Amino acid sequence: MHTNPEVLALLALGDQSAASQDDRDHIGGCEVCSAEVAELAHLAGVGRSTNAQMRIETPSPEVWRRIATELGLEESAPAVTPSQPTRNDAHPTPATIEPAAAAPGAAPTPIGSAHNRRRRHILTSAVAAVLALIVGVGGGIAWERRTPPETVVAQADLSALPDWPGARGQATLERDSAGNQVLVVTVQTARPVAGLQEVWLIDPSVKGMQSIGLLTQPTQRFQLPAGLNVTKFPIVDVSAEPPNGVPAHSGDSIVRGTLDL
Amino acid sequence: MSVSPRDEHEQVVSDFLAGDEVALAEIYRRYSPLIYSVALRSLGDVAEAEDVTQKVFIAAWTSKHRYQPERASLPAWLMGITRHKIGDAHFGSARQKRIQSEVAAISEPTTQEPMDVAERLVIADEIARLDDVPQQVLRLAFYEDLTHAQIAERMQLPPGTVKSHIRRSLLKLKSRLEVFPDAYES
Repeated sequence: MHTNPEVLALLALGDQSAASQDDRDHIGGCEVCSAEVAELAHLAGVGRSTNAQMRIETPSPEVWRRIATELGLEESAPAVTPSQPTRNDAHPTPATIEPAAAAPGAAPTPIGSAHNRRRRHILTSAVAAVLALIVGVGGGIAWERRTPPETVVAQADLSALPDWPGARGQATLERDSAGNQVLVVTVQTARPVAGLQEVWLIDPSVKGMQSIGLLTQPTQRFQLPAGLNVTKFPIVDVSAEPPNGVPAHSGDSIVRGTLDL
Repeated sequence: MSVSPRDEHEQVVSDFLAGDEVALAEIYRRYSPLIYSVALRSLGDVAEAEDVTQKVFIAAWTSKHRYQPERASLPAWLMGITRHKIGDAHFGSARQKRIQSEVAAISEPTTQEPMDVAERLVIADEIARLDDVPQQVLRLAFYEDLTHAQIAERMQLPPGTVKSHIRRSLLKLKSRLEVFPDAYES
């Protein structure tokens, strides 16, 4: 029978009056209780080293704008205003995630643990409606849907080649209102790619191929040359290319898939 | 359809890893204040702290394929990146020149480990969020070293109530810090 948790908490704060001799005897020989006291004592120590002037501050909106510019994020993503901490905020607070039902002593499940992650369909402006993030009063989020004018013509899941385990990707072919064909490519690799990544459209016999461009962001849109007949080159391939100026395909493909035209 | 905060967070992390820019924006919203504040306390300069913040989120986005959820929570991983960027900033040549040409400020920026700074900021923030009565109880216990009986008398509360407030408040601090396990090398 373990020591009353309130006694442990008080001992952690240095309040010796809280514990009886029996309590002390137990704690001395109990790993669970002494670990609890140690952990709470650490928290108390940190708490004591803070002062009322220590505050979490928000950076200026300019910082987000610079991030969005450097990463080439969609212009539809408006300036993000980090939420100001409020008392008893029901929403997840900055820098922490509170357990949904804070039962004392309950161990929270690891965030994003493997068995909870499901392979998620990657959002692109063509596959789903574009979502615009609006930060409401008090840090709440409202999601606004906007339907794009593009139509999806075809789609392909890109699978990893043997040299690139864990890589995956997706390609979507869109036609916009002007009749242009746009290939939207997303690639994720399990290890960094030395050199460049290049996107190709390849014919079914894997003899003829057309370079579409270099992939410099996780998701990128490529407007295809007007005369390119994609039905003749339906295989989407992303390769790792050494930056040596040699235009030919290196032979080192990362992911590949076929558009379902 | 209502979603628990925990499920919602897991969804945002999952979306982020899948390359969803909107999820990146949400992660920025949640974590940039802490990252910025840690950088600010470490470097003592707003422009440098803003620069670190920018570098952290760009690095997080471009290296998210290296994030392993089983090794650390997302905030812990972000703090690992923050540590590196703060370290880089400390040795940046622009900073060296600035320090050499300025009279040293009265309050020196801290050279403490960013993880320790983050821990203190989070704890200070959590204490400030407590309701008035438990907050006062905790402050008396922390800063004036009073026993629970002394706190009870000072605040005219039953001793049992004081004990309960202390325990529940410490548990809140503990659960808040649970997202910062051991430092994670990014």
